[in-house]
Amino acid sequence: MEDLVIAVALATVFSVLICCIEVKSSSKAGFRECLTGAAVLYLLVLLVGNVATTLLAAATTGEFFVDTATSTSANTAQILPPATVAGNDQSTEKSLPAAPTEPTSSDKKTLNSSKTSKSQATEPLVLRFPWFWYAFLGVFGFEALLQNINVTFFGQGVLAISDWISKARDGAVAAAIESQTNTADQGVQSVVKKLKGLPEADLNAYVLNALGKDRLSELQAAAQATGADTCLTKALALAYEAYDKVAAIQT
Amino acid sequence: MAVDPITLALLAAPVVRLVFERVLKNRSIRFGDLIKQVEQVDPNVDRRQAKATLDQLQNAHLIKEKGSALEDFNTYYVTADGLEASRKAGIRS
Repeated sequence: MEDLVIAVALATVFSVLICCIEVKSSSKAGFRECLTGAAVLYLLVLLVGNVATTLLAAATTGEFFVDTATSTSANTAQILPPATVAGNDQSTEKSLPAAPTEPTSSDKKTLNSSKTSKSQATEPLVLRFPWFWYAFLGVFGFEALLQNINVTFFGQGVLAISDWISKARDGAVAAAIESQTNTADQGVQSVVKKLKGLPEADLNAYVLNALGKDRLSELQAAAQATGADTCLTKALALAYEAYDKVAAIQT
Repeated sequence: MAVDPITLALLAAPVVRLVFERVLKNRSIRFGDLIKQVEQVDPNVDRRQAKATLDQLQNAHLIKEKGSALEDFNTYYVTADGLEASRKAGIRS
């Protein structure tokens, strides 16, 4: 039971990691922008699937771990000398002073810990952490198992889990992209507001330095042709095209 | 919203596909940069055609627009429907 709880907790951690990595890499957005309601929904969908397959992995492979651990213990008992395994060796008993009839609690602890350390020493690494393997098989087996389940009813797909997951992921990625776009736009607008307060001569100097002479002429011509405010046009161009260079300008 | 055959037919048009691919690849892109990228691939596509294509994609809910004071600085970004449509149309992002 304890193994199962740890396995579910580990599957949850794996799910959070997978969710973060997938949303961040697919959206190319910042980590903060990835934290949206849609991402939480995607995480919940992933969690449901991963926890279910982790429990399934525990139910199907649990016997393997128990059987293998039992046989390993039996082998250990055969390998170790009889005196170590059972304390009924006559010759040993004769040579030793009479033992107390009831072992004390400290004796029990020592005996248990020595048994555990002996069995752990002989157990393969795979068998020592069954909870890890339940979670591992559950989470990474999820792709192969549940994502291929497609339950149909009268020819209509009603339980295409891969579709659910794809839709939830698309929602999370799109929300992160939108959030990233909004954040970038807010940054640009604050820079534009700052630059608009500068004299045009200063703005021209900044455009010349950051974007070049040709771009300055282009912007001047575009603003005059469309009747747009020349300062705003140049400020926008600077903010969008040379954000890193002008963001630090103090007005 | 599920991707319908009309949307898939829209994405089959070469110019629409090209413009959508550029937006999808960048996730979000400004109009000025988009024009430059599209012209590199197909010099026959002009600004007006690109703008009309972006409007078509917006009407199909595949992309969204974040407006600006100047057209070149309008930002276009892909939506959840756009991501789904790209998968169904076999467009790599």
